[in-house]
Amino acid sequence: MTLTRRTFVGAAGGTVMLAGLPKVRAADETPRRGGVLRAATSEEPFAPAFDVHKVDSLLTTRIGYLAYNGLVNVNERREIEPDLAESWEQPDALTYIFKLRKGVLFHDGTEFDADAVKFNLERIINPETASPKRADFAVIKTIDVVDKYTVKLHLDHPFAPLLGYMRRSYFGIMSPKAITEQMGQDPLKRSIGTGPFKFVSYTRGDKVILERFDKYFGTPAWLDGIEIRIMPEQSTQFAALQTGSLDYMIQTSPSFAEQMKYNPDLQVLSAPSTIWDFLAFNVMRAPFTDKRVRQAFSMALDREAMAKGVYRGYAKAAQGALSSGFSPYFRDNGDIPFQTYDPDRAKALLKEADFPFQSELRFDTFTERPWGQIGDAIADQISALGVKLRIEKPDFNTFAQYFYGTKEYWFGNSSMTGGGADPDELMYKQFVTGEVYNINNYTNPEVDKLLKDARTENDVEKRVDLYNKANRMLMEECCVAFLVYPDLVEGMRANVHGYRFRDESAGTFDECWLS
Amino acid sequence: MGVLYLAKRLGWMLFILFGSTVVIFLVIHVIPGDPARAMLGPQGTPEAVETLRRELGLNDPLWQQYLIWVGRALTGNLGHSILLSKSVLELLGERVTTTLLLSLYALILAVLIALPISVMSATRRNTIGDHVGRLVVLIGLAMPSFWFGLMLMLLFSVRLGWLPVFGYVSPLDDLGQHFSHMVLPAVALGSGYAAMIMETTRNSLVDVLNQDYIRTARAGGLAERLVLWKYAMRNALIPTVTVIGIQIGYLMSGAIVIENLFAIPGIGRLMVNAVLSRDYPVVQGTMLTVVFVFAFANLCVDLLCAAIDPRTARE
Repeated sequence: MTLTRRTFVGAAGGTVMLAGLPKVRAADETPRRGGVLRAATSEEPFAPAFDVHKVDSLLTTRIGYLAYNGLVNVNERREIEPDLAESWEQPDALTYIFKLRKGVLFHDGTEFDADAVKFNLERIINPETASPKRADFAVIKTIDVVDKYTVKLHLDHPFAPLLGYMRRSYFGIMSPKAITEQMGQDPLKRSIGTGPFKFVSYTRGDKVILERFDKYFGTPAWLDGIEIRIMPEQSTQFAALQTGSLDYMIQTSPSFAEQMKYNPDLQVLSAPSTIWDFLAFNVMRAPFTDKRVRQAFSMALDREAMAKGVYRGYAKAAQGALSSGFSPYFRDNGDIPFQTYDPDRAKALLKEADFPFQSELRFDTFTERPWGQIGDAIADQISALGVKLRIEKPDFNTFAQYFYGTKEYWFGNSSMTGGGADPDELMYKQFVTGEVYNINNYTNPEVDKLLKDARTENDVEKRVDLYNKANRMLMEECCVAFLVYPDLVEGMRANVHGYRFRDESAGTFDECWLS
Repeated sequence: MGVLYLAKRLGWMLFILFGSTVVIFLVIHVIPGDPARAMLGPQGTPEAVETLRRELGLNDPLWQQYLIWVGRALTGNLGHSILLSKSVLELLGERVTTTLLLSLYALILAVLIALPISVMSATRRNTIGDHVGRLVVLIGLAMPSFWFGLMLMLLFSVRLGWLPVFGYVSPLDDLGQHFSHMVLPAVALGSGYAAMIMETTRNSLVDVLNQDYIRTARAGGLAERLVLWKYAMRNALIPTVTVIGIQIGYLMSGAIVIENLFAIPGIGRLMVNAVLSRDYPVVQGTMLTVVFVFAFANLCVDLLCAAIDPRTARE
């Protein structure tokens, strides 16, 4: 998932928790049809919006969620439930059979069927599409259309996370007719799905307009439409929310969420996420080749203070790669000392490692909030150990160039955002040797083996074990210091009802209604 | 005003435009960051980034890229946006009127506020009115437009509910709505500008009013109104017009901030987005537009000054 500004407050997940809800909602209130939800976002959708096979930006995917479906969907407990596939079975580790829903229409009037599934999968897998999601589907060797409503997939090797990648917020099934006929045209013209809303227009730098799709196969949306305004300044969004010219602030930053709690016209919803903020060490470069230095730096960081100070309480101190928001996979690994604040032990470890206190060490962060503030906190706390720092703080794009690109850095902070349907999405890509997000240059054959085994294991309990074993090793080895799990925070007017959380990349305001 | 003078000014303008293309091109290419990486995101493998860079022509030598760009720009083709799948001209066309209208309103507002106050201030020097006027100038100059805009928004939109918080409505769609959306941004943008005009006009008017020929005119028994508006103003306005012209650049850069604050889709926002995503053709196109407006405004100022005081064209 592309890390963009405010990715951290991405979308949804975990158990719904209503923080600071101004009033208790009457349980018997029945949904009302009608009205347009006026939402605002501070980021421009990524090009070519909303061809969701070609983009992996969280915001773009979240808006795409309103117009597309997947084969499956993910609920707030991170469990997989049916979407366009009514049921599925796995006769053996290498075969998936999906039974599709009948009578589903795309917004252009064509019918959704097994051929459409085949077309979409082939499009993502085809290297010419240059889909950033390709690696997650490339395991599929053949796609057989058994009959109009049955698809059979044969895999090259067992791959347990596959079902998670078939989810609505990631797969996004598009109309084959629109793609074939509209390729090379305005991407919005080929942005045709089966979802509860269809795209009407997208004016760059201004707004995205969607309207209800009346022939939706599920419960038709309560809203007549959704208007998403692109407003770079959250202070403007907040002002507009107060005046009622806006109903919902997508990805509300914690400082505004805090102010909203005291306004009876507004409400803040939040839920734990599977995102983690981290401090990465380049393990190929001294002094971070020494595990003790990494452990010392990790123990110098006061995670509770970051959660309270930077995130205003909308975050939890992290202990490892699996947050409590990932309920099926979470196990308490708090007994491992290296991911908790212990400055005395940190100092002792540095002394033991014969740390070169005289020389200056470069630290990389970037200006965008909240990472820039987390970076300031890190710099403060590491300096407190007596380490001399030279801080580099450019904009995200410059930072990404050497942090994610050439990996020419010593240590720096960022966050990891998956979708949150399967731990594989987060852990495999960041910690397996040579993978795309392995910015640490980290290589550990044991971790590699555990994470690879978890991909081929289909038994959930066994997978939980494998991920937790790998997690404990990572916590011990400290190739990253896990900092906090930011909550998903959504601020809206009190008359918006029906918002629910799912995974991070789902834009789950499709079920909202206005009173 | 001779044809030669006009030709000279035009020549200068072209020279400035040409020089600015070099600077614009170098600045955007020298800063680190890469549109290919911006597009592919952290998931992009180094190979994919390399392939995309080749496709976008970013691996060619810089001078070659520059010549291609300038060559195309000369024929009116500013290239294609890397990220938005639209031509730069198209993108500019959608937005440039918005920004120009915003700047124009700010300019008109600034002049309407600044001129009367500065005349009052200069003719009633060291009275309460003068002091208050100058205090207002100081506050206007010191206040960042972003903050002032936010305060205006909180007062007039959130507290009083008189004006909309954000957005833009085209004058062709609804003239009333257009103005109600533009009032706050124009005031926020124009306030600092007004202060600058006020300060300049007051000082030059004070200066002119102390000169011998004004005393002579008064001694000759001319009406004070005539002395002020016919004899003094004409000379006093030259610095004012110059400041108005030079500060068009201030208006354009201010528009970037104000457009972001009030969510107005103008070229300022286009530019900021393009810089952040390193969409080189769009950055180059928008910056060139701003330079052009700036150079053109200065040309107009030169001509206007020459009209007000023909001696300037004869130097």
